[in-house]
Amino acid sequence: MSGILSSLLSYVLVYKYPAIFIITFLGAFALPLPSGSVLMAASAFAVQGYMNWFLVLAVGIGGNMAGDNSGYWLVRKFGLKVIHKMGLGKFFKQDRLEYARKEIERHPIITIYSSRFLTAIAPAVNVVCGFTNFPYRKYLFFEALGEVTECLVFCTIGYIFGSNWEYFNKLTDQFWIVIVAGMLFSYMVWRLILRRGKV
Amino acid sequence: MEYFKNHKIKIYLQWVLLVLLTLVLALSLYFLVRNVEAMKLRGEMRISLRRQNQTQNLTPDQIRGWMTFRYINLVFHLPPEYLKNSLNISDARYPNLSINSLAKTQKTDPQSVLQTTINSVKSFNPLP
Repeated sequence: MSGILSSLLSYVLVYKYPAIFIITFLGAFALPLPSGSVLMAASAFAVQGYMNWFLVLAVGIGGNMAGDNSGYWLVRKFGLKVIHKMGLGKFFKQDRLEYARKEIERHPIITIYSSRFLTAIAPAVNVVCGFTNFPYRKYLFFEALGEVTECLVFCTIGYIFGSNWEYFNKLTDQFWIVIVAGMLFSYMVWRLILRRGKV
Repeated sequence: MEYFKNHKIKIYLQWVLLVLLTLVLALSLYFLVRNVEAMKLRGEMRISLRRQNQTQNLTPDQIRGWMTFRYINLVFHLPPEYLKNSLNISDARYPNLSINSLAKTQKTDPQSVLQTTINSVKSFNPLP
């Protein structure tokens, strides 16, 4: 187990729900923290009677959503101003931003929803959505749906595996490849076969 | 004509992508199943929804340095003062203190503190 995860788990055992909120918030906002593994472990602690599973789930979803939305709004309000002050405005021209926004609007499930499962990419998607003034309600819908799904998956795994969550954590990387490949596979099948039938 | 040609290439590329994705999915599933089987053989996995207490209980060998004494007391049903006395802990933060933190404050090897804790838990005998 990585040193950072060990330290985070100690904090979760000492400070419980506030620690889960802060870790998931920072993980969703910008820092590459293993918040999924933390949620899995916290759910295992809940199975052992140390915490409440529903509270772990609720706090996890709340922390993730607060982090995502903070990133989105900070960039939306101040992003372009900061970029222009730094003299990097030429890289963020209006027509390019408009094009990026349209592309995200065309594929919100792939860009916003699916990126919630890839902790390294999700903050970048929040930033792009903020930069391009992506409609907030649409962003919030797909972001919330993604976070609820992600937290439910991690918390359910922690609940099922209980004290053996640590062994499952070793398989997490492969597990996510299967999920992401499966999602892309389903999308391609839908695009190539089912959608063609409609036309 | 150009449109149909480009469209055909696009569809062709999408089929190639679909085949590649199928391969990635199949290979990932194959290695995932293989790893799970290997872990089961090593006895590292005990998944059981029916026997829930198997997933609730830890064995003393599963104690880790990041675990706090409060958590260990709860999981192994130990009296609150048992580990404090057996490990001679004088830190005021007990039981909200992890094994690694105790080793740090005592300036001792975390591994030896962990081993002492494991032995103390193993030697606990509740009175009948």
